[in-house]
Amino acid sequence: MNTVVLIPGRRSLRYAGFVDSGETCTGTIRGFRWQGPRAALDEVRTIVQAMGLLDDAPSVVVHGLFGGEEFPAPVSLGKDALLRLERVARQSPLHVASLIETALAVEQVFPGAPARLAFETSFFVDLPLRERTYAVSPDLSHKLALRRWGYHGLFHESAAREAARRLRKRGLDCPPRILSICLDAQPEIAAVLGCRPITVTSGATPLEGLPGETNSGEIDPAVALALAGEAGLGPEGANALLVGESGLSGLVGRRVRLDDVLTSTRNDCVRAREVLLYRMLLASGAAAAALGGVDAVVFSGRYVSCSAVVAHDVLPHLERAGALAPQAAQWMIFAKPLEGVLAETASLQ
Amino acid sequence: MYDLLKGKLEGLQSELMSFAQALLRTHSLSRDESSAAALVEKQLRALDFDTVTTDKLGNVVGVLHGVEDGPNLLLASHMDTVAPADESGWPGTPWSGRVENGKLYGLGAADCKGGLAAQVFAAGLLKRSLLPLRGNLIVAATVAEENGISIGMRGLIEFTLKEMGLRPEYAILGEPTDLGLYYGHDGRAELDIRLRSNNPFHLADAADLVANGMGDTDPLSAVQAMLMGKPQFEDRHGLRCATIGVEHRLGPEEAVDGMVGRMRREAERLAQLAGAVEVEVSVREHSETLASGMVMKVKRVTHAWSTDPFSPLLSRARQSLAAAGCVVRPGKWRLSRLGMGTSGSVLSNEFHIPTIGYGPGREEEAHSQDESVEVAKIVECTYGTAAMAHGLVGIPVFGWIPDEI
Repeated sequence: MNTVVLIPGRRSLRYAGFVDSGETCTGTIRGFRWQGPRAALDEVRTIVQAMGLLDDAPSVVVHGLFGGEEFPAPVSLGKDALLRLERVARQSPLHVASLIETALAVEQVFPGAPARLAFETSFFVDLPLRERTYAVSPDLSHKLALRRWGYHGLFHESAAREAARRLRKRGLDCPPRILSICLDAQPEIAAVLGCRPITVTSGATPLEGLPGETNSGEIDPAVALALAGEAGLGPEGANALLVGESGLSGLVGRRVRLDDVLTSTRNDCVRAREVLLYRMLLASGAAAAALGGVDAVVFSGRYVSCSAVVAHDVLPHLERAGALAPQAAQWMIFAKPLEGVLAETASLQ
Repeated sequence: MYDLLKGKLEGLQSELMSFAQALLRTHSLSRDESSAAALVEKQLRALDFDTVTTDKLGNVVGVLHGVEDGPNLLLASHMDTVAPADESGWPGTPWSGRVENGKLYGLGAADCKGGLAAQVFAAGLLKRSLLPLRGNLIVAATVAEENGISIGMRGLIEFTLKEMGLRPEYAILGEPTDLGLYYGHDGRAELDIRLRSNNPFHLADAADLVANGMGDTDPLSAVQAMLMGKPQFEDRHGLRCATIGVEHRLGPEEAVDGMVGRMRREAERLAQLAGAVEVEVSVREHSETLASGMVMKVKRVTHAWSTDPFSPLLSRARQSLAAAGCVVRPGKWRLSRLGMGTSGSVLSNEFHIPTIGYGPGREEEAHSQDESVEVAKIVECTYGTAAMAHGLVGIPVFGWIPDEI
């Protein structure tokens, strides 16, 4: 089966073409926002057509960051899906707006092709109540749809499934306790029992959780309010500062990537690396505590090549605390890129 | 979010400029705005506003509905222009809409068709960006601002929006501010000083004394405080009468009744020097017939108005503009010439709606010969207005990283 995978971003559209499960082409159309998704998708269509992917009606999979409780699983693209997307738009205005726009363009550029939307948040819809609930009035939580989410569900789910498969092969006959560490621009750690998430570091928005490339991560809400109020930045200015100019880049003092910080020998990266690894240790310990021990540690994400740095720093602490089962010290790597994970989604329909 | 707006605006820019140009090429003297209204209505529909209507007065209203009932933000600009003082002073015609050296020329370019185009497209920009709104965003192109003491705006709030169930919590005018955030200006009143006497010589002398004796203003002041007209004589019921029109600036907190009293006392003092002459001073009143045929009685007073510079409206406007990377420059209109003003007086004083101005034109260009507005400022105003509108009635995007995470 042929599959075209689309990952819309702010200024670019990542795409990949698959024949059966093999990737045949991959790339990025830049200037996505300036040209509009339609123009970028036309370009993708030309490319995949040249690769022969359109000869056998392909499936199209579109990546969505946020689908809320409306989308507990991937869904076929159509009128109903678009209406449901509009319903969740206020929970994630920026991303859902761009997804709607891309989805509409997909219907025009690939008419008749079975298209699906796959969301990062779907995996976390069934997060246990105790984990997803904030300690605020239930009425308010319900009204504003306040709850915890994870934003790398596709990686966590696929990586945990792969880890579980390997553990079963090794003879584990109970639901495995998996520590899933996603190394991406906004890193995220989840505890997974069998195939169900138990904890996750992110929150109602990606602001909560581990420090990211530009995102402060967990911060006292009073700081955000002081920035918006006393410092006179307003919500928009405070947001720009906390999600766009903080995190690892804020600590280093220049724009850096996660892999720069984890592998660089430059002195200006030391403090950022220490902060990140310490936060990862605490989050891993919390996940291990929630699971009652860890049978496997699995790394995934765009910067999975930096797994060793994190593993060597974090896992010995967990081992000394008795949180790792003997085999878990042999951590695993789930190296499949997001495009490949999404292509699998098409084969599951 | 601001990158998204900038990107979408780039796509809308040529449409925006075509619209601004078309507005300038359309005659729309006060009380003759129907062609401009049709143009605005067509553009609002093309931008896919949720509701578009032209009311009984001739105002055009477009609404983007939010997911909640409020707050409501009104973006308002008037469509009408004054008549060109001297058409021969314009290269081409006052309705050429020509673009030269980065400027768009035409009658009303600064006051305030450039602002109107920016406001229409600011809402269009939010619509195209698919950013959900919490409250309603109302765009209104109003009639009869220039010659009618904002009767279009008065009718819009009092009747049209009321019937639509919309009561604005905030308003932004597209009047010329050179992209400053303006929060008020002085007012003005048009008065008639009527002199009556059965002695025509006494009356002529009194009229001369009043017209010349009261017209003194500081010649060095850059701001005109009072403008005296020439006496107009007539015979009425056997009496010789003279009427002198006066236009007078009204400062903040200055009541028109107090000013009428002061003017009467001063006129009486001067008139008595000529002999027995009766003096009466009153605010000018008359009826205006709108383009729609509606007749409205108008009292020619515009009170000074001011919005608290620390009000939520101005605070949020400042914060949103700063976050969007726009220049933030609070201030007030100077109104250096009498006869100028905005509908902020009606909005602020009569309807108690906090109001600010944010427009691309320069105040000095208003009503001037070969009036122009910078093209780049229309574009910047569209972006800034969209940023402020989102800050005031949009659903916040706090906590969301704009790119892939």
